[in-house]
Amino acid sequence: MILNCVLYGQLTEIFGNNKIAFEVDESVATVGDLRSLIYEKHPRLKGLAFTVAVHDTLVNDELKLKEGIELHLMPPFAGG
Amino acid sequence: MQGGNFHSLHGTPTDSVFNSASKSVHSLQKVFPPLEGDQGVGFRNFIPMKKDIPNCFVEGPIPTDKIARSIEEQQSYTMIGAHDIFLGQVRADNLEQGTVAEIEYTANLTMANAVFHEISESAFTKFELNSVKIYHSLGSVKAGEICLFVFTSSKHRKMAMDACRFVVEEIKEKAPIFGKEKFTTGNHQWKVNT
Repeated sequence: MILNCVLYGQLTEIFGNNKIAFEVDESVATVGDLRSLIYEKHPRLKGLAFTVAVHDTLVNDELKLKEGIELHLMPPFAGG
Repeated sequence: MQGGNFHSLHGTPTDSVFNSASKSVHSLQKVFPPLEGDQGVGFRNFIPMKKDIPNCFVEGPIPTDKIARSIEEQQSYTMIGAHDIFLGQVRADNLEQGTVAEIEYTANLTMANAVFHEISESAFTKFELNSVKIYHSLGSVKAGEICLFVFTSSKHRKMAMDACRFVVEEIKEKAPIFGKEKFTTGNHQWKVNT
């Protein structure tokens, strides 16, 4: 399945883009699985926490992934 | 439409647009009830739409005359007895990498506006308020310029002050806004709220 992700802040700098798509197999079933995969494949992210939102709402790592879902990956907030 | 203005009980132009939009949805549903066994043909588009949520972002620094104008706008609402204002200003921090010259703000815009809306709704529930206004900068804001303007109005000072603090703290914690601190040396780092 292909997972489309929108990136923000420092993540856009690390990936050099504000969007990225991950093609994953069935072993990546939840947001938590994707998070682990991203840290594994992109060691530059080490130490940078990020939250995930779907439809403008924060989701936790247990959320099941499905084809077509758009994930927003957001580093720590810095408003104000 | 000028954004950032939430649900003033005394009704400003933005609010009346907001309120009349939700009222018309309500009355349409009464006039045309969904058919039985039908999940509302023709009504599924009546999910509250994003465009009903005001945009609280201002390109660049928040002009100080906008702040003055916001105060003036409230002066005709004479049931208000107290305002509280928070202004966030970009600080020229001296760090190892240099001195902060500006912050470049980006955001998950739709989510941030939805979060501002939720924060303001929740402020209206917790405190006796007449109005809540939130404005946040987007793009580049230089040291010394204003990047956040929160304005709460109430009958009495305690409610206005408590609400203002609540709104600011909630924004810092929950709004998906990102800040790239650019130093005089040309280096940069990503701001993190503590």
